[in-house]
This record gives sequence, structure tokens and C-alpha cells, in this order.
Amino acid sequence: MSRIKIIFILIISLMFTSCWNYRELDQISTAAGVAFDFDENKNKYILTTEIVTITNYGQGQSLILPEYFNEEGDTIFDAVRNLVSKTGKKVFWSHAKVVFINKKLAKKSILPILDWIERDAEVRPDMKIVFVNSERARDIFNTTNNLQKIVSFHVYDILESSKNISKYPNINLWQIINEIQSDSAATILPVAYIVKENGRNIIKLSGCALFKNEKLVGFLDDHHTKNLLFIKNLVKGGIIPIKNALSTGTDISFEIYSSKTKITPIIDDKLKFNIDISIDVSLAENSGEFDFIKEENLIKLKDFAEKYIAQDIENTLTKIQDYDVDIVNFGKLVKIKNPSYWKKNKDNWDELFKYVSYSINVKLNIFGTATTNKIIKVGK
Amino acid sequence: MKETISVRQSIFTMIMFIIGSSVIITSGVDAKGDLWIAVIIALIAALAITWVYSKILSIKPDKDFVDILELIFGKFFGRLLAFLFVFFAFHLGSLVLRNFGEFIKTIGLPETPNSILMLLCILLAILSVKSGIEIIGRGCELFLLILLFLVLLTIPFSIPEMDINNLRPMLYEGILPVLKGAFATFSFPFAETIVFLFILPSTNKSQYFKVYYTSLIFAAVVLILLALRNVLILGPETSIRNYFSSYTAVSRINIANFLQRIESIIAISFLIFTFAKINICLYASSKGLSKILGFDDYRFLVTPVGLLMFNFSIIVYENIMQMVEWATKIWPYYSLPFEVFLPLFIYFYFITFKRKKLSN
Repeated sequence: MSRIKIIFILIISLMFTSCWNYRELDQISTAAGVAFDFDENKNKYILTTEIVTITNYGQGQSLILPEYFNEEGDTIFDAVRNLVSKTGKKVFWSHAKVVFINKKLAKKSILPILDWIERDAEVRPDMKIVFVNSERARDIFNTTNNLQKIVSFHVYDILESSKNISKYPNINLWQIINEIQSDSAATILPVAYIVKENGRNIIKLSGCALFKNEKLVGFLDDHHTKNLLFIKNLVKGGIIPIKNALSTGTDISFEIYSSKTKITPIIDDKLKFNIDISIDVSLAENSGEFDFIKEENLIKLKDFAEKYIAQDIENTLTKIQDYDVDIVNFGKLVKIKNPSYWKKNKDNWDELFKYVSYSINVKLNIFGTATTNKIIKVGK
Repeated sequence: MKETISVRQSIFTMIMFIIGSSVIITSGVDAKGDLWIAVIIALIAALAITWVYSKILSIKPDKDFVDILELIFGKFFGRLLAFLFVFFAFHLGSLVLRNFGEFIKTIGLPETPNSILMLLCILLAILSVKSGIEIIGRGCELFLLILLFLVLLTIPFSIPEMDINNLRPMLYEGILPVLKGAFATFSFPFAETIVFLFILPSTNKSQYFKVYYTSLIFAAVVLILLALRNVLILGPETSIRNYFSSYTAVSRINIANFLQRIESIIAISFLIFTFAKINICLYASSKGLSKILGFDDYRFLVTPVGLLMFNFSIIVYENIMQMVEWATKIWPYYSLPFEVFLPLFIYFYFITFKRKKLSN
């Protein structure tokens, strides 16, 4: 009796263990990234997807190459599903890393993209969105490089390396959604440029695009973006160059090791924000005759650099104020600090934000001078 | 021979029951970022009402709930009241079964018919309920600690994704939404433990207070931690927009591209937690029904009741939107008579009219 039972259990467990939605690896086409364009004349979304193909050469050797398909649809998901008519297999989205969008779509609204990525169970919400500064977002796939043949993965690598340069933001999609849902309703996206170099097109990421509500309103260049990231407490590394420091004719580079920003709102009759930034740096470059490593000079340099950076950041803030987007989410800070004030004033926050003032306080901790402790002296 | 479970097992079973579907479906979303405060308020209310539940069972500690009702209200009215509670357990069981089906359908198997998933689950539940309350108790004892370890393990892993500003400012919209959230959390899952009136008489010692209070407090701590984790990771807006916010929150975990995509842990634990809850509801309703109909053994009723539960869970909602709408907006009011009014009525009727008679 018990033997029959065991046999029965084995038959059931071995034969009926597959599920309805079971898909073999060779029956799916894996997407690495996708570019969305918007066609105003046809009022349609145009989608270009980058699909990873693996060619086997035998003996464990294989080549991974991208393949591109265009498709259009009335809605985002319509376009996504229409792809089947070209790929033959349903596209598998769980490994997709990057979404590219063009200007027309960004000016119209990025909400459809956000909704598709967040709602769909297969698409993962840690994808990145990149704004492509080109007529069509799909032009990004016309670039070549030998570092990483899959363009989306290449852009993803560049984004992840943002921690070494901090000149473009690296934000996940869900952070963008959170920022758009917040009271200031503003967010930033990294901007990709397609540049010609040595007769081929390559990608360069630089600066950020500003979004108010769900629409594109402007751009910040890489320099301002770094300052913005300082304020948003997102800087993890990078270089602070100072040309002609203290009018000595000597150029200085600080390498950022870590940075911490604390913003405290001061709510009187006029709104003011105290921004305290503490940056750990090392003196990574001293390219000139003047020796800043000497202690008295270093103190002077530190003083100078703190004021210089603070002034620089203030310029960026003025620029952001001109765009009238509360990209730093100062509103949320006011809301936390004084909920009743926020309740009264949140409807005319846009007006208030134009006239807020800042007091920026930079603290530079120079903890080293890389590997040398003397400058190179030119022998005479 | 009467089947018994130990006090420890009934505590574990009740914790499994309370955490049950709440591990993934958040109730009390009105409270938004202040959900954890709502859970604390709900816990206090639940401690008060479960005191009444324990008192009802303590009227005759060696008797079943249905017997006690018959003692107080006579044969006809006692059984009528008991039938209401049986229906409540039955209804709750079907709703949880539907949650189970909808979750798998939404997350993993969109093309699989819901009914197949639910049928497999209910068949397994019928099998385990037929094996008796001892088996359920032992199963919960075995699984609870492992599952809790896995679920709570996600909290330290998700610290890098957390933002303390998601909790601030506290009580921004005043206390009213928090009270609403507390009300919802009270009715689902805390006061659903009314179902245990059918089960606790099987405990080998009559320590009803101990069972109720230990498991309520323990489960509440877990729920508070989960509520905090979800809000800290997702932020108030996103956490109330998602059907399964725990699942979404955990899917954010990514430690150095190495430890990621661990939301399947949450999915698996949800399946086992809800399975335990379905078991308990099925056991309570078939046990109660057999008592009402005057049978000694409940086992032959398990299959029909289970299959009815399965049918009911299919027709009860048309889609997941209705499920969420019902669970958040209607369930608190619907369950109020079963969870609060009727127990209070039973207990006060007993102390005013029947206490002297029965103690003689």
C-alpha cells in the first residue's frame, strides 16, 4: 500500500510540476533597453528595443550582440506588445536596464513611461530613464563602442560610474516617481549626447534635464549638475578643479571622497535655507610653482576654496530659481519643519520659491595630498 | 478522544493567523506614513476586545464555543448565533483564498486561471484540516520561526534604501486618518481572531488570555516593523498605491548587485502564511458546523465546506480592484458585528442574566 502511495506521489511530483506560464530560455527574447519616441503627426509612440542575442561558436565560446526592432503603437503598452509581430517571441523585460526618451515625449509627459514600468509586473522598477538630446531617442542605438556592445548596458555602466564624477545624476525610476509625487513635483533625468569622434558616434552623458510636474522645462550643464547633486546630497566622488587659486597662477584639483549636506529651513517672515555642506577631499593636483602643501598656504587655500565652492553653488541655486522648479525639494523640508506653515502656503509655493534666500556654508576637510608631499620643482 | 494542542502551538497558530495575509496586503492605508501609530492604537483596541473573547471561553473552559452559546441562549438561539460565527469564518476563509489566488496571478502567473491556483490550495487545506488541529498546530510551530526569520531579514537588508524623511512630518493630516487606519487594522487582522473561539477550546490548558495577549503583541510588533519598512522604503504615496506593497518594497533591495531579487522570499512566506490562515478558517467553520448540526466528528464536513469556500471565493469578487475596495472600505464595517457587537452582547447577556443560574 505505502509503496503504491510513494509511486503515486513520485508520478505526480515529477509530471505535474510545471506551471502554466512556464517559459524556456530559448523561447524568450531578452530586452536590454528601450527607446521611446513620440510622433506628433501620427499621434503614436514609437518604440525601439535593444534585444540581446547570443551566438554560439561551440567550445564554450559565444558572442553577445544587440539586435534592434522598431515598432509603433497608440499607447506605450500597445507598442511594447506589437513587437511580437517582429520578434516572434514575447520580449522579456526583467533584465532591461535603461529607457531612453526624446524631447517630444519629454515635453508631452513622461507619466505613460513611468506608469508602464511601475505597473507591469515583469518590468523592474529599478530601471533608469535617460533623456537623449537628439531628434530621436533611438539614435542612441546608432553609436558604436568596443567596450560594451550592448548600448543599454554601456549607458548603464556610465550611469553607475556617476559616483566617480558626479556630473550627471544616477537615479532609479522609483526615485523619480517619488519626486514627482512629492509636493514640489519636480525631478531630474541624466542627459545623453551623441558626439562624433574619430569618425564614429559615441555616447556622452553630461548634465541633467529638469522636469516640472511631468514635463521637461530646461537643462543644467554638467558643472551646475554637480552643484545640484551637492545640494541634494548625492555626490559620492568627483573632482573640484580651481583654476588660478589665490591668484598664484597655480591650478588645484581636489578629489572628493565623500560629501554630506544638511539643509535647515528658517521660517520667519521671509524663507531662508541654511545649507551646510561638509566635503572630505584630498589635494590631488597642484600643478604650478606655488606650493599649497605647506601648512600656512594650505589653510589659506582651504579658506579660499570653501568660499569659492559656496559661491559656485549659490550661482546654481539662482539658476534653478530662474527655472522656477523646486528640484531640491525644499518644499518637503518646510513641510517637515513647520507643517502648519506649509498647509497655508503650499498653493503659492511656486511664488514663494522665487524669493527664498540661502546661506551656504561649505566645510572642506583636506585629509591628504595623495602620494606625494612636495610639489615638483623645476630645476634651474 | 479529544484532540489537543499545546499552549505554545496555539500561540504560534494565532501569530501565523494574524500576520497571515497582512505580510503582503497592507490594511489601514488611510494612515499613510503614520501606519505604525495606527497599528499601535489598533493593538490596544484589540487587547480590549480579546479580553471579552477570552472571558466568553472561560465561562465553561472544558466546553466548545457552540456548547457555551447553547448554555447561555438555549438550543435554538445558541445554534443560530453560532451559525453566524461559522459563516464569518467561512467568508473570511474564502476572502483569504481569493487573496492567495490574486497574488500569484498578479505577481507571477498572469495567464493561469485563478481557480486552478485556488483549487490546489484548498485541496491541500482540506487534506491538512482532515488530519486534525494537531497537524495544523505543529505545522505552524515548524514554519513560523523560519518564515519570520526570512521576513525580518529583509529589514536590515533594506536599510540602504530607506529614507527617514518618508515618515516626516508625523500626523501631518491630523489624527483622523490615523484613527481610520487603526480601525481598519483592528478589523483586519487583529479582531479576526474571533475565529479562534472555535479553536482555543482544543488547547490542553485553558490559558486563553495568555494565548491571545502573547500572540497579539508579538504579531503587532512584526506588523509595525513591516509597516515601517514599507513606508521608509517606498514613501507614503507609493506604499498605498501598490496592491502588494511589501512585495514592491522588498524588490528594491539590491546590495552591491549581489543580493537582489529576494522578493520571492516574501512571496513564498506569504503563501505559507495565508495557507495557515485558510486552514484555520476552514477548520473553524467545519468544526462549528458539525457542532451545530449535532455531529461528533467534523471530518466528513471538511471537503464539502472547503469546496464551497472555493466556489464562494470565485464568485465573491469580479476582479482585484473589487477585492481591495472591499478589504479596505467595506470589510471594517461588515466585520464589526461579528468581531465586536455580538461578542459584547454574548458576554453582557451572560453576566446580567445567566451568571447565577450557570454557577449553580
